[in-house]
Amino acid sequence: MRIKTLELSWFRGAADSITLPLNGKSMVVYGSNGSGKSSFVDAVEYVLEDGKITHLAHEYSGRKQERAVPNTHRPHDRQPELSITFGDNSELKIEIAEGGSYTSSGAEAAAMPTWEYRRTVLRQHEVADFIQSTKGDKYSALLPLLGLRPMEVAAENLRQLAKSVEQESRLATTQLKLKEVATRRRETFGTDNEEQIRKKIDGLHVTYCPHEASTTDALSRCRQVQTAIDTRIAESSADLRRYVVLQDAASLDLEAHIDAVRAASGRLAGTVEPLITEKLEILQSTVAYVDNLKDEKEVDCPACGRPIPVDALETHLNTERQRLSGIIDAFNTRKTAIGTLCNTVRTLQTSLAKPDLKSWREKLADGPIGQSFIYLDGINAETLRGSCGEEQLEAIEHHLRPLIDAAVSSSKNAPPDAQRLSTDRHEVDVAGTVIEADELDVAAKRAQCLTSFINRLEQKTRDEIRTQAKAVIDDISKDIQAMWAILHPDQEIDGVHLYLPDGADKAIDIGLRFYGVEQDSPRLTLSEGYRNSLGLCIFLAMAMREATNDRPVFLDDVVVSLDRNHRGMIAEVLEKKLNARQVIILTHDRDWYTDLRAQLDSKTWVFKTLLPYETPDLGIRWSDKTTTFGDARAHLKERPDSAGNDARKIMDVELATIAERLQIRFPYLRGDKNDKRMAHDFLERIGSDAKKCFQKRSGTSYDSFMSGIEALEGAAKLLVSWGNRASHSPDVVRPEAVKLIDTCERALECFKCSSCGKQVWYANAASPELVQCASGEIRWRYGKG
Amino acid sequence: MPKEDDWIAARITEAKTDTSLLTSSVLTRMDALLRNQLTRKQLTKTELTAVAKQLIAAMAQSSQEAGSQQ
Repeated sequence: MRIKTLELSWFRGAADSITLPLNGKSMVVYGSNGSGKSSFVDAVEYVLEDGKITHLAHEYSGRKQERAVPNTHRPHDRQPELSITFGDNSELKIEIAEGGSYTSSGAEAAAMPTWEYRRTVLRQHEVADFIQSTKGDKYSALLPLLGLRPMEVAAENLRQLAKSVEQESRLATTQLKLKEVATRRRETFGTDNEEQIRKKIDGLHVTYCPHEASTTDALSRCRQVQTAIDTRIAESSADLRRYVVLQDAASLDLEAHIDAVRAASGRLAGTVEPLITEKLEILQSTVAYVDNLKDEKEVDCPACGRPIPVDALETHLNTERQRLSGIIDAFNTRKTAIGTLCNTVRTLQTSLAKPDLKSWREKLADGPIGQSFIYLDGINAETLRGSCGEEQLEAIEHHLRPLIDAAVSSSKNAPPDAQRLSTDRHEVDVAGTVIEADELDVAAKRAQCLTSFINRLEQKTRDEIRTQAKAVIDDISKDIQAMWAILHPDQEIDGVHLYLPDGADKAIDIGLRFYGVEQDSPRLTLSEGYRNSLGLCIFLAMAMREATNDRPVFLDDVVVSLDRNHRGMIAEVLEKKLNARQVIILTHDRDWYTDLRAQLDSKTWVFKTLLPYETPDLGIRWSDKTTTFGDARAHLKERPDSAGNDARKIMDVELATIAERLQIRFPYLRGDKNDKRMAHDFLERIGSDAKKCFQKRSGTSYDSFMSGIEALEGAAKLLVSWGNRASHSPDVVRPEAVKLIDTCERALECFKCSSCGKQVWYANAASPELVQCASGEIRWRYGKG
Repeated sequence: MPKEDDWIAARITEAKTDTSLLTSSVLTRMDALLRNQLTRKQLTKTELTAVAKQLIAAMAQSSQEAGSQQ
């Protein structure tokens, strides 16, 4: 939607009211520094960025920039306002309240804030921002253009979803439990495989459940054998029952389990690492981010906190990841060992608390291990899982080992039946646990499979993003190259393109060829001016990717670091590449303004000049001085003298610029007289040089451009007489003024080629000796004067 | 002009490896999630937990169905 008007009232530098009268056209606004040009751009940024203007975001501007946005001298009853009317006469109006909050109204209140700032406004300080930003920021800037946001959202959701699946399926806990079962299995069955364990169970089933042969399911067989053994024990003598329980206790390998905890704790010793899992996650992300840090010298490692040189960071991060993964493995091993020890303690508690051992305990209670029974009864095996340090291990060793020794000693003379019953029941218990764990194992495998699938899907989605992004950035690169070629013709810096760096997600960078050598970044070789010119090409290429051509583009003082030659080419870029767009250029460069006025089509471009800023009460003001010969002619009827003077003023300004461009030498004058030369002073010297320097093509050679020279001489003659007040009546008649305006206009026109439409200073034709128009039809040879 | 979600089916096919556990019903569910919830906005932890539960249940159900068919 093109903009018709942009009106400010007490907003930034504006006083009561100032309107940017675009009327749907493109515009060049000239104004000296501080004249208020940027207030218009601030207004656009304010709308697009939800009431925030980046360059005003500082500690003094207030939370809502309420101390920076309003004009400091506004009347008490007036608040800042801005209103924008669009091509279809729809309107957006913004009223800013005392505290800085704002309300918007009008048909476009919802639509315009959705425009992307980075493709609408380019300011002087932002020109090189894209080039200097990190690869990640470049990617973020381009992401809306790539149309890949849904895929980006999906990739991030998939990453988080994989974690949620791990948590919801309790994968980590299940895996620890499976490790504990594996330990018990190894202790009970050694290296026996499933088939051998099943055969053992089948054998026990035949022995203890001869009438249950029809049962085939292994777990059911285990349960039947357990019940049969328990029944047999319960029906046996008190002595035998006691021996069975003592055997159970005696078979516990407490010492081995304590040693296992100590060994695992030893491996963890010295690695006090809180939040290891979180650190690992951060490290994982940092590895993907390393490529974005190459412009830094050192960064603090997010895991160990030490400063690490960036070129060594990737290796350091991988080492840290391995170290932390090793710690997590050791931590899990310790956790498993503690779990096994807890099971042992609980089994001992259960066994020694059985009524069958009541008399045995009473007999020993008054002896040296009496305290150990009290310790055993009081210990909470589950709390040991959370805290099992050396102190607890020593206490367990000190109290429980004598109890097991006592059980071993007392069960020495146990009858073979007791030993067999105890061993058989232990084996069938463990076998049952192993079979049950199979189901857990299947659930864990399902969860792992799902997690891996989601992780792969995330990766494939990121691959797709990369493929699609590449296609889009290749297209953008073509536009950048085309504009760069216009701005820098015949220069050995080419092949400018955006690319996706290998091995880095969410990253884009800029490559180019510098005198035949491929470069990964323009920052390696390009001067500041070239970087800015490249930044401008990139901004314009991005702006061209807008879905609609109707949105305006604001360029605020973007050519500061470009030389006159390259500034001159920008008009060609605008004409060739952005002629369908509404472009608003704001500049404090008078020369460039004059160039643009000469180069750009007045049918589609408006040129306006701001007055220098005087006071906040007066605010931003347009200059109503004549700026064109057309305007001068408009005064002919009422005030012919004024019309003639306007023409002279135009010549004063234009000829000064032309003289500089054509390298006309002037004698040095004392004082400030150099700055006070009048049009006829310039024209006299230009006309004189023109006889030797100003040439027009004639076949294959060049002759003096006679009609041009005559036009300059004619204008010089008239301006001299006009400037000589003594020889001129104060009452100027209209025909005189008409003649002056026409002659002056013809004199300036002679510098413009009638075939290509470009000025004679358009190109230097790869020669330091001359300038010429685009077609070479007319030229000016320096030094001929 | 390719449609916005043309990529989904192809990427799911590429990502699946263990088809014995990843049955077609799980893949169909993932396809539907990617066409809707997962591409629209960044999900909250609660929303992600709900999606994770759905998928875990779908995996378990598929596995039971596969078991009972055998």
